[in-house]
Amino acid sequence: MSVGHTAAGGMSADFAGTLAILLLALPLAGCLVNALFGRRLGRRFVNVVGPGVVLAAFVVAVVVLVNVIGASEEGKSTTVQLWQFIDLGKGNLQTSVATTFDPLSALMIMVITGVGFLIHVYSVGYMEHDESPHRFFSYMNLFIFSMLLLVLAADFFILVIGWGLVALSSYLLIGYWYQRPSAVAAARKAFITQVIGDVALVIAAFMILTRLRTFSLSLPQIFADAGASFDHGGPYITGICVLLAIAAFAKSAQFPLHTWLPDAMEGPTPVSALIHAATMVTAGVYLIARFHTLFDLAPFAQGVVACVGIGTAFMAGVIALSQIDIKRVIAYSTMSQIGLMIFAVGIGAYSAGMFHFATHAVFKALLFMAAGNVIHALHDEQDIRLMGGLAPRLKITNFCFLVGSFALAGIPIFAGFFSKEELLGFGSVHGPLPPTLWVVGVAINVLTGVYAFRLYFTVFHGEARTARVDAAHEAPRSMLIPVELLTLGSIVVGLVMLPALPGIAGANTIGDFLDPVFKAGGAQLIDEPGRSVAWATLLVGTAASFIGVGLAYRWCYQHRPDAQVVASRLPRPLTQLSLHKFYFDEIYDAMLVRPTRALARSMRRVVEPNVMDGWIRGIAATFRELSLDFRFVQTGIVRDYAALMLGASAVFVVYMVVVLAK
Amino acid sequence: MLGDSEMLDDNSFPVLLALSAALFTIGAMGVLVRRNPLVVFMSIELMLNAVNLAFVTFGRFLNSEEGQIFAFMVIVVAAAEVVVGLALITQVFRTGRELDVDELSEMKE
Amino acid sequence: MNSIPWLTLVLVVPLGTVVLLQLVPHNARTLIKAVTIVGTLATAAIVAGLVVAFTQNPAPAQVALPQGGTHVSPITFQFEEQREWISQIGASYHLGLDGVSAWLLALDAGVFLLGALVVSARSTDRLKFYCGLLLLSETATAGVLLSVDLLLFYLFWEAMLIPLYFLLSNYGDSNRGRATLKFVIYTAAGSLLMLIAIIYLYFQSPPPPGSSHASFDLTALMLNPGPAQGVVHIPVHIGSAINADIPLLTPIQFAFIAFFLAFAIKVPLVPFHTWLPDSYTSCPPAALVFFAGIVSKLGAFGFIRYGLTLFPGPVHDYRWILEALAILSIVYGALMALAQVDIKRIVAYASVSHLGFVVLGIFALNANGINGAVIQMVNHGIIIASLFLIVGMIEQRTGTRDRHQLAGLEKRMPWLYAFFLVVTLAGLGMPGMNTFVGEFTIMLGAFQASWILAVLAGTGVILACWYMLRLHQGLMHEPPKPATEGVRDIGTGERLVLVPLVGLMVLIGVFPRPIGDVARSNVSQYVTVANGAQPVAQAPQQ
Repeated sequence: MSVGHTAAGGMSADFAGTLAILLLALPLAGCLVNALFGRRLGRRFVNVVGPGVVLAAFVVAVVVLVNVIGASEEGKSTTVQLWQFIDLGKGNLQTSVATTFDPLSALMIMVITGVGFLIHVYSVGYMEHDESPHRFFSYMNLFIFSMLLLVLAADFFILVIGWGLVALSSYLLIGYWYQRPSAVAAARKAFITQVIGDVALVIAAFMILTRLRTFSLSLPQIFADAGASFDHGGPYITGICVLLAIAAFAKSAQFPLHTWLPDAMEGPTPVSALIHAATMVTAGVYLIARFHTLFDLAPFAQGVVACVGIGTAFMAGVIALSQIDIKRVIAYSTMSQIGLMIFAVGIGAYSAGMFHFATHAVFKALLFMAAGNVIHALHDEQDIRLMGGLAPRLKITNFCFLVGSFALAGIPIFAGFFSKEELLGFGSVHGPLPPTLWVVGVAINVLTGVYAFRLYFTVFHGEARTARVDAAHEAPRSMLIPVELLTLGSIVVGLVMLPALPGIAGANTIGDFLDPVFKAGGAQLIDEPGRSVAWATLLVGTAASFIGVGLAYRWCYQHRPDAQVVASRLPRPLTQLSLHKFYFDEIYDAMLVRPTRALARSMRRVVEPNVMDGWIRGIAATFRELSLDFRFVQTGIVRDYAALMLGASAVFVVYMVVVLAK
Repeated sequence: MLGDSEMLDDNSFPVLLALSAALFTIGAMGVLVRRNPLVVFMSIELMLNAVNLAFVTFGRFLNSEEGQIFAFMVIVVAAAEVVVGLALITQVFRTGRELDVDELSEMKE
Repeated sequence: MNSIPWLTLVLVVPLGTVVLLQLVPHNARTLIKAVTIVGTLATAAIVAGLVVAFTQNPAPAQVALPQGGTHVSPITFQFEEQREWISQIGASYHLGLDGVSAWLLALDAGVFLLGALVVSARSTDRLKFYCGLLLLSETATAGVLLSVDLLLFYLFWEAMLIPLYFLLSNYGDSNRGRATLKFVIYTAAGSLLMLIAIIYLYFQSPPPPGSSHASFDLTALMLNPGPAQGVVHIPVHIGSAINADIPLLTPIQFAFIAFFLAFAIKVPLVPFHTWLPDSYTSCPPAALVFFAGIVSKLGAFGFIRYGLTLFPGPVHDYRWILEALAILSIVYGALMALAQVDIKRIVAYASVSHLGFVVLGIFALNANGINGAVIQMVNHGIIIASLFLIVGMIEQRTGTRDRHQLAGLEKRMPWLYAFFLVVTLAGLGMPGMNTFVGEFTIMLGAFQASWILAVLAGTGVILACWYMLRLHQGLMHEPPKPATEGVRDIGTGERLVLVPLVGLMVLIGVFPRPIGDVARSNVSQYVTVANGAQPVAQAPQQ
């Protein structure tokens, strides 16, 4: 069944093939069963099958992780070919369905199935009063399947399929409440943005395929041949990497393809937690990390990625300061955090970027689900100006949200601290014009502290601003347990990196785990910052985080607990930019959407009837005119015809006699 | 028949053709000028017979039977035509309408 | 296998069913339906057997020449049959199946079976006439795919027009008169030019040894294109002052343009497409299934079978024009679909856009492009038939085709919603669905020809996503409007019609290999023929 290349000390091909099929088939089966029979079998059945298949996939993922950790240095990566997808002959398109298990994909599938399972459990409670849970869980399972396909793919073609299916499930879930026009529009916007990324990805695939020595789309083959096929730093490889980066930006909501993410908050809150915070939006980071071999060949593209990442992180942080929708604030913070990850993989700190992905998945899912508890308690109220004073009423949620905010702000001990400081440490010595981007990163730390705690204080402290707050009650158990587990995770997950803190043990746990992927094929890893630099950046970064939290405390808690107090303290142009989200929606509408619509309309009104149909109608009209001109001949009187006939015959006879007789 | 042939020498060939042409022209003029369908009909008969005469003449002088064969065909067709035509004219007459070919133009359009 | 003339059977079975239908009384509606379905089913069964039995790398075909002797055809056909037809002029009854026509034949048999099912599900006046026309169309379209002789091909090509004319003019909607006229004049004009070109090719080709006249056989014409001729000049002499020869084109280029027009109108390529929206919107549902499902693909098939093989020189000379027209079709069709209000017209223009991809793949002139075009032709047939069926179901229930009057159908029609969703995704090129495989391969071929083509085609993909999603969401989501209050969901029969279509879309999306396996060896022959003759064609330019 399976053909694969494994080195000694790794998984056997058959075993890996079985695991891969199990991982993919479980959520897919859940999706199909829920879609086809869910309505008949009822809510209880769906509530078991939906999360159940993800739990089973999580168990398989743990087996994979154990095997990958246990494998020898050379056997870390196991690629299995499941079946040939299409074969157009040698020298033409030949692709197969193939999967790879290596530390990178193992980390991804752990997060996807682990966090995914908790969010599924949470959804059981959150969607309790929804009328079509089978539809919801079917879409959710489809998402898990697509995401697993995306990260396991060992063939570019299959990667693109996973890439597209992820966008599809995101589309379906954003537009889940299909009777809301805003949700429908948001879903479409998200999908179209994703398709722009898809096209970029597909063209990148063409560029790689046609220039690669072996004319192959197999990822291991691409990485093995990249060095010999592309000139280091040449325009061709730079083009490929820029296209890959565009695809990554579309998926990860980075400038200039970021506008869909805040709108995507129209989806149910578990969806925002799973797709638009923890997993899908980080697929761009994964993509760049996966294609690190190519990016290492294109320093210019890396620079672009790093700058866009840090720029988006800063911009999103500024916007988050003034938003009044609880989910949108978290969405902008997600955009900002992913910007940091993109920055990390852009400067070559792949392991650091992926570690931040893992911790961010935990604490951001936590924040979203805690926010979901708040929304649930207030009966679908999302405007933070109408909240406040929830802390005594939602004690557990309050605590969990606080932990999540600490992790987000990067306060020591909490998960975000370790990952963010690690990647900022790399940023201080690498990337374009060091340490310019690092300075921006420190500013982002301040911003993060401010917006995270502005949100926390406004929602949970101060006076209750509506009557609904007084009636708020804590969420059911199924919604609290996942949140509590993630709270624990937000405190614990970062601790695996405790030995990596400069001056403690010098052992980089995550780095040791992931680096074999990024060292494969003799690639050079970037140097870690020296010990003194590391300490300095750590202290400055942490201080910045504390300053941010302190400012929020002063403005939003002590001073005047008002949602727009932060925005009012910014310089006026920045306030305007923040309130209007840097005017991107307006610009795109004016520059892309409207002109295209106008073009299409003018085509229909002017070009189609006059030009396209015009030339053929012109021919028809010419003949019509001609026939009208000769119409007088047809009098309808037989004798006229007879006379004409006779006359013509006479002329003919005379012609015969006179001309031909000569 | 043999005896008749002595009456026809080569000189009578153009005379007979001229007679045929004259009959044809008279017939054609009749068709074009007269309005009464009966007269038009007779003129058509005149034209057909002019053609018959031409056929037979050519047949005789070219020593071939085809002329006679065609003449017989024309006679048959003419007979059929007369049957149909006269039936039509009687029908029109019965409806009490004026017999004028220019007025009988309902089929037009 | 050789003893039974399978390909002739494919042509004869529908024709025999027509004869059988004449024995059935007019009012025995159930029997008429049953006979029609059995006839199309039997044809489909034979075709399925043919596709399964199609082998990948058959021995080179020996083709009999009209006056005895054989030669090796550059294109390998299977299940060949060759009989005398009009031997006096070198036209023979020559049928053959290659990897490209095999899949189109499968699509053909499929859409006609589907059409027969749709006819039986709806109440139609003059049912027997309708069913007879449907079966006649099946024979004609299958004949176009199977014939290897140019005269035979032309016969079927024209024969196709007759049943379509009667279907459109008798069963169409209120606009049928205008629509039929436009369709018939457009296509007839194209085909007549092609006839002239066929006759030119015939006289141009030198007779094979021992014979006094040439042959209409495609393989013979491919091997014996005749001596290349120089450019035709128009002498202009006005008095003594102006005395010039205006150079035009070579005769073979003229002939190619004639073939091109016939096929481009059928496909249709922009700007020869304006018959299509009118005809499609006016066409009755069952006829639309095969009208949209197979007829337009025959134009694209003609480009592969005749354009590439008979005119390798002109194809290279005009390559950029052909590719530009394909891109124009993609983008223009998409923009027009975006601007329409009538949902049937949206689908019609979407069809124009999708067929642009097919033509782009063909004129990329490499194996990826043409294989992709084959895959995409099959995909497009399935998708466009389903889309029109679904749009027809919606129109039947709500009584309107106005996009603005329709909304919120998802709540009322969950089944239709699910089917429509899959079809929409397939239509917009969702990865994992069948169109993606086709478009990816075509765009790869186009990219190998020139990167700019792939990028421009990419904008078509983005626009497709926009108009398809807007159509689907507009009809399905948001609160219902007056026209959509209280409509009923589709019944079991309609679901059973849609299930196999939707199933195929997913199946081809995840397991497209068989299409490529059957098509690729013939496709590489077409690529060789299309590219190999390039130097010959460029010689006489002086």
